[in-house]
Amino acid sequence: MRRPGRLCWGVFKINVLFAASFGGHWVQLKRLAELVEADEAEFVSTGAGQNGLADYYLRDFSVRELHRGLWQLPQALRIVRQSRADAVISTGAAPGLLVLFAGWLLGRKTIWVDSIANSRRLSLSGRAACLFATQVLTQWPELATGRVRHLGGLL
Amino acid sequence: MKLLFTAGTQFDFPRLGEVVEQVALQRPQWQLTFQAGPGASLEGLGEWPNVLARPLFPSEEFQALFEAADLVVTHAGMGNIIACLEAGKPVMMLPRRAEFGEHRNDHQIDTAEAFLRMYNVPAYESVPQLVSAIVEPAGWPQGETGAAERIHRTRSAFAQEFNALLRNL
Repeated sequence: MRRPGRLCWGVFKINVLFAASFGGHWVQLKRLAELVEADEAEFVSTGAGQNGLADYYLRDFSVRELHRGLWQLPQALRIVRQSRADAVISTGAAPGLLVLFAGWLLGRKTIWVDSIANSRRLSLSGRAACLFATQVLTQWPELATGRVRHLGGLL
Repeated sequence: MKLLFTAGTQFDFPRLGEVVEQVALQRPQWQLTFQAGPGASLEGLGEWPNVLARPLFPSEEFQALFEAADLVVTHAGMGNIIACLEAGKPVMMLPRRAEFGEHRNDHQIDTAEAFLRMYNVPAYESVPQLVSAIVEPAGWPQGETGAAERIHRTRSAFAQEFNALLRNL
């Protein structure tokens, strides 16, 4: 199995693209990014007016109105290519799922970390991520199944 | 007393506006700030001299209001709860409910239950219950000083597992 990242002068390097919509998902993404050992980290978010901290932006949409998101797929693909990410990581919601999907289409490793807000059931976006993501994580031990793993959480 | 009320940004949350009005009425000497969310109607709230209400404060201003607040009252949204727990800030929650059109589903009720269990963050079902809790500071939750340390330990453990996963994907 090919590991993500690549060897560069004998040193293992990994670039990560982090994606989440603005608000609680973004707060969790930033906290997660502080924990992840990446050589380069770039960020995709929504709310371009309010959130000045991302490198790339998409328009926000709900997973229930997927058609409004899918027209942004070319944009998401462009972002993944431009970031030269080896792995894409998202904490949600639908815009994060779209970037993760774009990463999968381009053969990148993808990790979905379901929001800690979903304590009873994996989010709808998280259930969609189960269809393709390399790894799907929940932050609640009781929600772990075979496919959905629990490795801890942010709180 | 300085109180910060924050409704999040997705759907209208008029019940939190009602809470602000009733607290303003009962505690005219307190300073209340309310971030009601984009598109929220602030009708009625402008009449109170002790209430400063805006749909959305610029993030730096919001941060200053957050730091100055003696108590934060919020919907059960993760951004605000995480910030309060990290800062050891006393916080109360009013979970959004689908039956009032405040969210798509009732997951905020589950979130609130989980945070009551894990970090002792009180949640209230109704406006009157929340108002009575707010106006009596003697019964406010103490911002848990142990929470920050617990969060640090939890994240260190998660970081180890997560980085191992990432290296071996």
